[in-house]
Parts: sequence; structure tokens; C-alpha cells
Amino acid sequence: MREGPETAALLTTLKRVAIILKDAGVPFALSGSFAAYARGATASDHDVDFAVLPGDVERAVDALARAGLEPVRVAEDWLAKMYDDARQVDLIYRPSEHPVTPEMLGRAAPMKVNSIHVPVLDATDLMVMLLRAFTEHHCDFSAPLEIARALREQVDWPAVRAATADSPYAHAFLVLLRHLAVIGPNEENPMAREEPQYLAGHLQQALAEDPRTGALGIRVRVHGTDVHLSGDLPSRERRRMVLAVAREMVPDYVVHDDLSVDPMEGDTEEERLA
Amino acid sequence: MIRIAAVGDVHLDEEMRGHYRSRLDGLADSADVLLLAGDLTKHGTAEEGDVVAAEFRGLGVPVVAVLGNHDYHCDAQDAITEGLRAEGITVLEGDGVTLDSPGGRIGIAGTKGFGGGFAGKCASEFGEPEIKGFVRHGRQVAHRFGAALRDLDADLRVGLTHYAPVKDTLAGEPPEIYPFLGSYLLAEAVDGAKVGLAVHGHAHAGVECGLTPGGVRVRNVALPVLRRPYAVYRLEAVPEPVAV
Ligand SMILES: [Fe+2]
Ligand SMILES: [Fe+2]
Repeated sequence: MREGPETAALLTTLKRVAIILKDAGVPFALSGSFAAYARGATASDHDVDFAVLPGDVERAVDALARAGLEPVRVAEDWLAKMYDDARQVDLIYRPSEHPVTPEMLGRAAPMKVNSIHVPVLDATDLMVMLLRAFTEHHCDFSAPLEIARALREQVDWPAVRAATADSPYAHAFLVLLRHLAVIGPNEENPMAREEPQYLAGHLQQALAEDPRTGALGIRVRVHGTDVHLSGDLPSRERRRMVLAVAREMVPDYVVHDDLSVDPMEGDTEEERLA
Repeated sequence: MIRIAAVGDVHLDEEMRGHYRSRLDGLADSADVLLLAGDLTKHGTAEEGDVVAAEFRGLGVPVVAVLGNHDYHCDAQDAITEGLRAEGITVLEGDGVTLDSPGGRIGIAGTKGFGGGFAGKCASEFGEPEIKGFVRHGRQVAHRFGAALRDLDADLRVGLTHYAPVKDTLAGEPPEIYPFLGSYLLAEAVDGAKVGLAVHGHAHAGVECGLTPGGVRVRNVALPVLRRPYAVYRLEAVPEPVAV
């Protein structure tokens, strides 16, 4: 892999931070573009990201500051920023409202980066983090697309799909990956490969039979790549579940919510049967 | 006057605990009995049955229920029935109960019922054993239901089923699935016993009102059809038929 001077400097910073955190006994994992780099993607010339537990942020910042890194005040409540000279280091602890967990750090595999062993975020966790980060104002697919291509064999795509099911941006990205043949059709989900004329019937049955939904009265209509769900559900929670399960079952379709909640809204009034 | 409250297809589970009960405040003032027309649970587990028992116990009016197909899904229908009975809820299957009310004695016979279809468009006991079994089960439950209705000694007789006795109340459901929604044999049982009202559920996309061929009022009280916590029907007591 070709590396510019900037990348080389960032790798030095990466190594330095990793050693400081290790010595301080702070659990961490390499995250962001350098995690992707460690796993085979092109090197980045931006910043170095580490994932740490929310409860360890202060300890990590202290240890790095003692070693000479410069803490920076940030408005965000999901990362801490530091500078190693001009090079930026981000300590990420709650990306997209999902706190970094000990399980996630546990899944990180030690990999050799710039001649030292660093725990690197699991490829699936990394992909989930990237996809969850898409928002209205931040949905440039090009960098994540490059990473997805490089990491595609290491990623558990159905797990990514499930973890990002509530994000329309992630959904769009996964559809793009499928159309670019970066990922295959949803092999574990036979419904994804189904002829559209059978899809409505099978989805309706699946929503009735899936123990998470058990929704018997859902009407399903399929038009092109759009799936419309309608019918009554007893609670908002159930509606969310029906939508999530439907999106999981037909990931390549756009699932529209025409469902209504609470069939008990009416007043009880008497009927006289003379 | 006798006031019958009824609802079916409440499909309760743990998530909905307390939700239904909060809508039943005025029940004791507005009705003499509450009928539950089956599909009381979502998947038919004993745990969901406990939620149903807790929602409908001690309401200040007698509660009479039949089970629905959902309540059979996990083979826990007996446990669900026992759980409901332990909370004072009457569960009928091919039998009846008579209750005293200020307006007269209310006799209720109930069964889950079954599919089979409607006159002229129904399956017959012919061919593969699975088809024969399907048709036979529908016949047996309708037969027992008719006998239970005729045995009621009451001022007003009410038939309570989960499956529909008529097509009228299925309007809105796809005609292709009518044979799975009800059986005309249930209407025949109702028409053979001087019944004042037939209540059923199961047809979530159907309509509330219908009539048997013999002119008995049929009400589909499936919750998604009612769109209110329960329906209340006010009826005149019908005098005992004269034995001939
Ligand atoms: Fe139902
Ligand atoms: Fe049903």
C-alpha cells in the first residue's frame, strides 16, 4: 500500500496513542479509517480514531495529556478530540447514540499496524458504525463504499443489515452495494430473491408467523421496489416491530408505513336491537 | 332489557398488560355481561393467557369467553382455559351457561367454531383424509354448538363463536379465504334454537353487522372491526319457545 508523508505521520501518532493507552490500562480499539486500513482498505490522510468505553474517556484523555497530547474542547457529546502536534486523534465513545460496549472491544482483533499489535475494531462493528453515521447532512457514500469493497469478505452483512434497519441512509447504502455487486443477494433470506408477484403473499404470511410480530391482519402491496404495509396494530411498539421485521425480510425493497395504531380509540355506544 | 357487551380478537400479550383494562372502566354500568369472542391471545401461550385473565377478572359483570384459533397455536388451550376459569371467567366450548340479570335470564352457548365455508361454496367430507378431517371438525363443533343452544333455559339466547356463522360480516375479507373464516353450519345451529343474537370474531377486515338466513342478528365484534373497546347490544328478552 502506498502511503503519503501525511499518512506516515498519522501512523506514528496511531502507534504513540496505542502505546500510551495500553500502558494506562485503558481498553480501546482502533476505529474509523485506520481500522479499515488495518483490515485492508486504502490508507487515510485524515485523522486517527479510537473507540473507548464511555466510562474510560476521562482516564484516556488524562493519560494522553500527560504524555504530551493536547486536549481540545468539543461541543459533541460522543467523542473527545486531542492533537498530537497537528495530527488529530478522536476518542469515540458514543457514535450515533450507540455507546461503545465492552463486548464490542472484546470483538476487536489484535492486528499488526505500523509494526505494533493494536486491537482493531471488528469489520462488522466498523461497518455498522460507518452506516449509522449517515445523516441528512453527512451522507457521502464514497469513502464508506471504498471501505465496504475492501472489507466485504470480513463483514457479516446480515448483521449489518439488522443493526442498521432503522436508518434509511444505511438501507440506501446497502441497496447500492447490492446493485454494485459488492455484496450478493441476501442469501440467508429467501424472500429477498423472490418474484415480486409472490412477495406480498409470503411477506404477509411471514409477518403473521414471526413470533416478534404475530400480525395477522397486515395487508401488503408491492409496487416495483416499494412495499406498502397497512392495517391496525395495538401499539406503537408493535408497529415499530412490524416495520423492522418487514425491512429485515425484504431488505432490497423500500417498506412504507401505512399502518395505524390503537384500534380502541372509539367510544362505546349502545346499539338497540329491537 | 338485557345489555350484552362483546369484543373479540383482543390478541393480548405481555406488552399490552394493563392497556385493555384501562378501557373497561364504565363496563359494569353499561352492560349485564361481557362476551369475549376468541383470539384472546397473540400466540396462544399460557403466559399470554395469564395477561388475558388479569385484564378481564373482577370487572363487576360476568365474563363469558370462547377461545379462537390463535389461542390454540401453542397447544396451550387447556392451560389458558384453566387460567381464565381460575379468575372467574366462564370459558365455553360446545356448552352453555345461564346468567341472571335484571332484564331476565341470559343463556349463552359458545364454541370456537371452525371454517368450512358457506352454503353452496363449501368443502365436503370427501377425498384426502386432511380434507375430511377439516370438514368433520367443522361439523362436530357446529353440532355440539346447536345442541348447547337448544339446551339453554333462558329468556334470551345468545350464540358466541370465534369463527363466523355468516358471510355478511366477512365483507371486506377476500372471498378466497371465506372457507377459513367461518361455516354456515354455525348459522344453521343458531337458526335452529330461537336465538336473539349471534356474536363472533376472527374476521378482522370484515364488518360488524349481518343476519342469519333465519333472521337472527349477527355481530362481528373483532376489535379491528369495532374500533372501540367493546360493543354493547341492548335486546328484549325473547320468550321461551313452546315445546312441540
Ligand atoms: Fe384474530
Ligand atoms: Fe382468529
